[in-house]
Amino acid sequence: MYQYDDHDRALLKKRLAQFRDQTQRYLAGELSADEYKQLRLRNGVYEQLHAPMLRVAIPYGMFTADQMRTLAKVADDYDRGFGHMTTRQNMQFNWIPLERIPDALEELAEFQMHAIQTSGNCIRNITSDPLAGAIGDEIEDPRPWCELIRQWSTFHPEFNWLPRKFKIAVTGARNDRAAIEVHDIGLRLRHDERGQSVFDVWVGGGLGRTPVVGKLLREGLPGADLLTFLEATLRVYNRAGRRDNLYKARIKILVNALGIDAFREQVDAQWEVTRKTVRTLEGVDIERMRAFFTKTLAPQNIVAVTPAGPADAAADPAYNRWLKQNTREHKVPGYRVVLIALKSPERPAGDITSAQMRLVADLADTYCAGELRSTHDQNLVLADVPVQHLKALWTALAGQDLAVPNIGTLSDMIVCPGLDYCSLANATSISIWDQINDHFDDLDYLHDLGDVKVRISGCMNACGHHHVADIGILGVDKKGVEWYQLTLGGRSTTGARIGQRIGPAIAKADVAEAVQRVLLTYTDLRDDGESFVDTLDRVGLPPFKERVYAAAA
Amino acid sequence: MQLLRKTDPSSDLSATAEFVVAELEWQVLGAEDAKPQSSGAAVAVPLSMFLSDPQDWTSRQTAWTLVIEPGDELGELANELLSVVLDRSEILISFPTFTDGRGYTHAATLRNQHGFKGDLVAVGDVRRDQLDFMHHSGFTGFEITGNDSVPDMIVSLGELSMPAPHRLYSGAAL
Repeated sequence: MYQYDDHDRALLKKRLAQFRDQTQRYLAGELSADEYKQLRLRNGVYEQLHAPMLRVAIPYGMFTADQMRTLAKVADDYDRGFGHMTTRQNMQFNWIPLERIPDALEELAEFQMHAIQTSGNCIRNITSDPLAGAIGDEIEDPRPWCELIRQWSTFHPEFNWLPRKFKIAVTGARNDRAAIEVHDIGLRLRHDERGQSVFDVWVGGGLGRTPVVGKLLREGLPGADLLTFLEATLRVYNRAGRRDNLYKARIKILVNALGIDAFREQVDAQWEVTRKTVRTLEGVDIERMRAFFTKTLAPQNIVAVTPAGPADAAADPAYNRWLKQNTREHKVPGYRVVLIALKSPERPAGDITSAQMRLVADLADTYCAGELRSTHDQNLVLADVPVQHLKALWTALAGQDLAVPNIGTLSDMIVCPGLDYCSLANATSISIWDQINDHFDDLDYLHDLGDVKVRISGCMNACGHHHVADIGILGVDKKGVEWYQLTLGGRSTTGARIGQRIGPAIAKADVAEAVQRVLLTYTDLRDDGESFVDTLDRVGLPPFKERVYAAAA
Repeated sequence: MQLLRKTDPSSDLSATAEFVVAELEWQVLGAEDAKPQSSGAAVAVPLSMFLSDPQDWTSRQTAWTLVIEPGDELGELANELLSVVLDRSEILISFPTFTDGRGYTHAATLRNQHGFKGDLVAVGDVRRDQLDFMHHSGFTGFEITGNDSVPDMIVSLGELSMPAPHRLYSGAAL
């Protein structure tokens, strides 16, 4: 894991002093609300429905046990004892009084944490594969490159006032777990025929009001030119992106207006300039970063966990089910990747209490060299757990309601905060999360359904990524009443696609029932082992539509 | 109009750079203003005014310069026009609102792509909290708008500046 050097530390301290001064000037009436808004946004502070929200950056989802304990302390001392994991792998706090935010940030800064560029029209937190470095389908670990991008983009003076926010995601695996095709820029790290690190670059993907799958901007970009190419792309966007309409300001609109070929020509022309003026990465740059993420795992005596698991797994069905559902094969024999589910029906999806944070931190120290990750679907990961400790880990997690065996199932939903917290929302999301959990409380049924993704957004800004779910649910407001629009067949993994609207919006009370009808249609019509999307593609939307709207008519 | 000007435009970007208060030597014109007489005061004119009759401007004996607006396209200028632009000792870059970041790219383009060595002055909605990033993008002068005191502006100019450059962070010294 990356360790701050003196430069990183000093810069963070300077930024904290700057923001503390800006906040004091605002509170003293010396800065207007409009001006301060732009400054606080670049420091992760929103004004939400009830209170300010602070979004703390977790760069590419990597953090430590000590950092988690600090987050727990902030949750207890400044907030209401819990935090919320976001789809950009960050943690949000919902109830910190504005005048106390600089103090909270100071506590976080002690442990290399901050909220810089987690909001505002600038380059946001870089996201990546939460299983990086631990999973067998990986071509190369993307995290050293993510850290290079983090440093390049942090306080980039030219790109602090972009037309709109800008999100970059990086994957280095064959299976994309970072949703790179629905980002402003998505990077796929792979090796060329000579074994050199190169990137395929997607541009102009995104969700929100205008969901678009990204287009391939460049294949096989040499790793040395990663920053020169990003700089060229951002410069074209900063100059030419629309600024007259908030809803048409993302890079996807520019790319679509110009067409990908004309956009590429502009980037290539600019690249000729930036190749000469921006840092070309040298071997030493990437080697130095790689050293931070290279980990030697001690050989383990016990390596077998499959098919039935260690002897005690078979004897304990609850443990066995968790093992099957919430852990993944590690690339090193004797280790297992453990996903910590933050999707207990007892709490809103992605919420974690301070007590849970401390437990997870302790478990990370005991079983995973003090290292943690956050995922874009609002869960946590202990990436390198020795197989022999799985039972003890499960027991501890279960004791704090963190072992619900629902990773990858219907109830592993992505859910935005919605109208319970968010000032942009049109409808509640957490109420639908509760309704679906109440309706589908039979784990055997969920496991039989397999990997069906349900995602809920409380408005068309689509923070719940509903466009790229098997079943997407979008809250809309009709004359003060909450209604919900269903989309089917979206996907955020390789070959990303936007879901299709099934028909008219559904009354709030009927959402779980409608989801059930969609699922019954699927289970009735699917071939053996056929995925939801494949069934939908084969039979089309009509059978789903007929069933969902049959009784309502 | 007064501005805060870096005493040595070629000096580094560290917190120790020095600034002085100076008078802006140009009368700044907008696109809607009438074209001034060739014998008049030193003027800073919009790129569009220059482009409507470049020969008139290049034949003038009196000093003049340009105000670059956010939507201007420096990249589309023919070489001979561009070299007229780059011959200026000082170029003004306008910020109609502080949230419009195109001026930063104009500055970076003039500096890095075209090698402009003269002064770059930010005019318009210039506020202390943006000065540091302006400086790191290549600006050497900043309009004093009255929103902020000069001592405050100088404090802000060094807020994120580091004593030594870093290999990977952008903006030279950041």
